[in-house]
Amino acid sequence: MFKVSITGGKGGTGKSTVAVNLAVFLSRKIDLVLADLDVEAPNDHILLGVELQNKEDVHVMIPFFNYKKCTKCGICADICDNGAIMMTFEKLPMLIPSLCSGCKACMYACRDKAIAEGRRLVGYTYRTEVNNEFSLVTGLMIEGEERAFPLVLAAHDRALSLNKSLLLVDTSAGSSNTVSYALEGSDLIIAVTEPTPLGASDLSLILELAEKIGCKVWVVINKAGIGSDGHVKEVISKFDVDEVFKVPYSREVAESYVKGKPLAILSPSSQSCLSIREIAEAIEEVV
Amino acid sequence: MELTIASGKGGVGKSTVASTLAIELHKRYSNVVAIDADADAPNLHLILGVDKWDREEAFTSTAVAEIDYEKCTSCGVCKDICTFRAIKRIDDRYVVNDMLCEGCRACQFACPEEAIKIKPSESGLIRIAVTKYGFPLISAKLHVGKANSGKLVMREKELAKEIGRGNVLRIVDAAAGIGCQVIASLAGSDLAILVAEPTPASLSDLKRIYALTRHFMIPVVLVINKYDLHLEHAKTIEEFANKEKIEVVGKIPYDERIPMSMAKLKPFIEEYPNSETTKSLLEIVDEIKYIYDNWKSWWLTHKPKEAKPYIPKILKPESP
Amino acid sequence: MKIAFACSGKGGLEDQISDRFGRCSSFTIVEVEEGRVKSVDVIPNPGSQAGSGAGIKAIKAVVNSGAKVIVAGSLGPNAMAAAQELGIKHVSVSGKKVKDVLNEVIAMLK
Repeated sequence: MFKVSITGGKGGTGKSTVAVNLAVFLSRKIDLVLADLDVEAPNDHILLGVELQNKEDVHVMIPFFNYKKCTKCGICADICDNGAIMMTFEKLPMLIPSLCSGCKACMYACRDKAIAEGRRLVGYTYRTEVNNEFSLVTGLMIEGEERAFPLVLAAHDRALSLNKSLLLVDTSAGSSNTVSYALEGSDLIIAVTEPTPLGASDLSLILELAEKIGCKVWVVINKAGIGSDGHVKEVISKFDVDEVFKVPYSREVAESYVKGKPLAILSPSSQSCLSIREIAEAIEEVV
Repeated sequence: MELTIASGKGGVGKSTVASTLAIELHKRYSNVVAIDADADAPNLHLILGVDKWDREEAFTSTAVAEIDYEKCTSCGVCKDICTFRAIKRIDDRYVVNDMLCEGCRACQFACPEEAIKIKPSESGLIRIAVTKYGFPLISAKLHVGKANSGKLVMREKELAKEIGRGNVLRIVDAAAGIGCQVIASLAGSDLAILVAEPTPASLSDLKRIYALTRHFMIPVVLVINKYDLHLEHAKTIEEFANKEKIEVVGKIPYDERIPMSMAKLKPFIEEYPNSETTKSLLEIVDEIKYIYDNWKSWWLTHKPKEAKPYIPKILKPESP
Repeated sequence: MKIAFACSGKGGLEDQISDRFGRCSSFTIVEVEEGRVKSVDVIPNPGSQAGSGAGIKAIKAVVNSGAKVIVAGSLGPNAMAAAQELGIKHVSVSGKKVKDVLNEVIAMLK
């Protein structure tokens, strides 16, 4: 499966807009799945105007203590990274479920085999068919949960299991480990930025990450025209970037966002749309 | 007192509102400390024109696993049990990916040869500078690929309390999303200023961030940015706000010059002081000043009546 | 029996009881024997510097101190759930100093 990841560092640069429209174009020629891994605030289904379907639960393991076997040694509470295990007055371990990350360190540390695996619901994945043209897999974290990682993992796995020819990944903003995991194994990373010092600053973080992962990178300068590309170009020159594309800033993009219809359908002949189409064609050649 | 600006969705104008509030409130009260709680993609220092840092501190609250290859027998148990998929087999060796590893020690305990050690790891930097407006900015930068955490944001808040004098007004610019770093941005805050734009995506994310404020019982006010981009959607957002009894403290018109002034690294109110947009931003500042000046009575009438705490859904292990 | 008073300042009998438990500044631990005060101790609250999970850090400090009663305005959701499971009692008081309600609380707990 060929994997192309669309990422961006800064929020609001238009990553999802680019990802969604690339999916629309590329699906006309290639069998693909778009994975929305922005699990804290997924938006691709909203941009596409579809309702999420085929919901599946995502769980994280939590420890259940067997007090009959527990020797009250206290190791589990000591080693829990997140402070999720506390000792009661009777020196028995008690779990605070919302703090547990599901790492199972306590289960492996326990010498008395007194810990069994329970589960906690942390979110959902969905698989939605978009106009019978491509599949959209979405990860959604429940509000109140702290960690996006298990959802990113589950959604990515579900997308892979569909066994399509092309996997398009829409990551979350930022450059943390959830983005790093989403980008792992990519054949191509597309970094979406904007021509401002803010965009350039966040772009350099993403390019640094892409270099660390060792993956080919293209840059898309979205909202081109609102500022000068000097800063962004300077950042690009410091890294090994294969291609640079520009998508002009236009009210049409803002409107497509607002109307819940992808640009490719709403205003296919707009300059912005044609620019994205150009990127799609370049991807087709590489796949 | 602590004000947190959050949104759920990225790119809606949090930093525009946060920087405007920091500058204007400091002019009036002289006690502002600004905190950029988005360590993944920090921006506030750029908007406020900071180009060098007065103080930097490494953040080392994290750890990573290290395999001792002299003891390792390549059995692969560590890879199998790692919930963060941080251990991979490369050629005939098992290797820890120190970007994904969260230092939980599960592999250390599971390893039959006791071949795994845990070593502390630096995951980012916290830096402080005094801005040209006279107030300090505390910013953080996560090293790429590292795990973000609420602990980093809490350390920033701790530093704000240390360097501030007397009655400090902390202004926290939260990251996008609703994960641990945003949760830490809201924890302990007195007022959440939520920012939304009139798009279905933004409303969806607004509801999610609002649910978090209900968990913490923090009063909420709302700013609708780019409101005339789609008056109908803006109305839907206002209806949501009315239903939840959230006060709308401002509506900023869609102004293409906002991203342009950010491109020039100048706060919008300075670049275009006579515009309608600046007027609407200053109106928001006035509303916040009113709330600050009358905090006790405002809080009594606006605090959430009941907490809607987040209660995780748990499933017991299957009985053997 | 030990009672933990959540305090807004440096603790002690003269201090104000905090409205919020998880992030209060300190705990004043009062040990009571046969209806009389045996000792008064002040411990810092590790939850005051915490992000989420402040309530849990605070509960841990209370458990470590041996106190089985908490006096504070209100408990957040995590702390409340943990307190219930641990069998820690919560007495709700706000706007008063520790010394002002001490006798009332002792009488209530008999």
